[in-house]
Amino acid sequence: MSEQDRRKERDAELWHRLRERSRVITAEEGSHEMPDAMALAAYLDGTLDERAREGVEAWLATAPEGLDLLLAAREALAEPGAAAPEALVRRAAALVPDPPGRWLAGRLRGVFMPLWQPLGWSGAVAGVLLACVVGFQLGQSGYRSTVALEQLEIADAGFVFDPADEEIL
Amino acid sequence: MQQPIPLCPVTEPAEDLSRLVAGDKAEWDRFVQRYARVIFAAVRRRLVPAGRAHEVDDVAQDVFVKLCGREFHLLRNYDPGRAKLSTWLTVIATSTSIDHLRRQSAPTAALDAVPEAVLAVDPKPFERIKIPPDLLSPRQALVLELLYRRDLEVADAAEMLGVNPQTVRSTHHKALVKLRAHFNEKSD
Repeated sequence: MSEQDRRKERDAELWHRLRERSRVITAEEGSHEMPDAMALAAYLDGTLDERAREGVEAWLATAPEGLDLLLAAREALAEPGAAAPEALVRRAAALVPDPPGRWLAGRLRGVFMPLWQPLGWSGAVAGVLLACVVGFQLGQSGYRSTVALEQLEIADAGFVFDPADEEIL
Repeated sequence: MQQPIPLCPVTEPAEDLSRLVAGDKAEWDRFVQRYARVIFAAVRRRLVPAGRAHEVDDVAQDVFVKLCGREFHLLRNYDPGRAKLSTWLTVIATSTSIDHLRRQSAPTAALDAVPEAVLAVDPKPFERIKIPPDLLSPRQALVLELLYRRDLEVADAAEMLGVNPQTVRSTHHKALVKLRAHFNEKSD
């Protein structure tokens, strides 16, 4: 072991000794000094002012799990991760439900889109023409019904009760 | 004092989450599509080395449950003026993963069944040590912790602190002088 290594070991021993002799603060006791997630993120982004940064560093120096958290977050930020599985994205999206109107629109889209895609605009034009023909036919049959109803009223007129006829009865 | 070098400079455009936290489903879907990778990567980085790769999806889902729980209470705490959304989400996801490892179980549950503690806005408090006051500055203590307990090289510690390596060496030296004096050792 070189002299430099021995010196480093002695120096490390000083820090270990200080830590061992330092009082342990329970999680509850020290909770008010713990920076929140926003402060830790700001520390990582380098946007904290000097005083706030010192506060975070004071906590990091004495809370091993806090330093774990920061180092792990830093490593995760440094490396671009793999894409999230599609199943996870779907499950996460489903945590917030669709509003009822959107649900109905989605269902209708689900019914009509498969028809729309193969037919395209020509199908739409054919659909409009078909609707016009059907509408015309319905209109005509409706006219006939009206005429028939008028004839029926005339034919039934003889059966309408007339108070003048009461005497005859 | 030297101005710290930003660890992760803020270049991401600020996200407007107002419609999302108002319950806009389309905004939530967009948010999930955009940030699922960030959350998944942070959870994966913490759980895979712990031998819990099979739990990554469930813990990532727990992060989303936290984010939208209690009418987006957690997302309402995000301040775009202080940090990037991806950085903040990474902290939240890492913290959730650490909590998960501490609990050593906890399968994913329905939102209504999730205990209040799991939906806590911030990480659970950690146990700490109390160094004698006025002995070391926070940065000096952190430098010693990074070099002697985390075995980081000076360059890595400098990157972590957002300063140059010479500042770390100088801080380390001053801290050791104080420590030696504290323990009545001779400085060489």
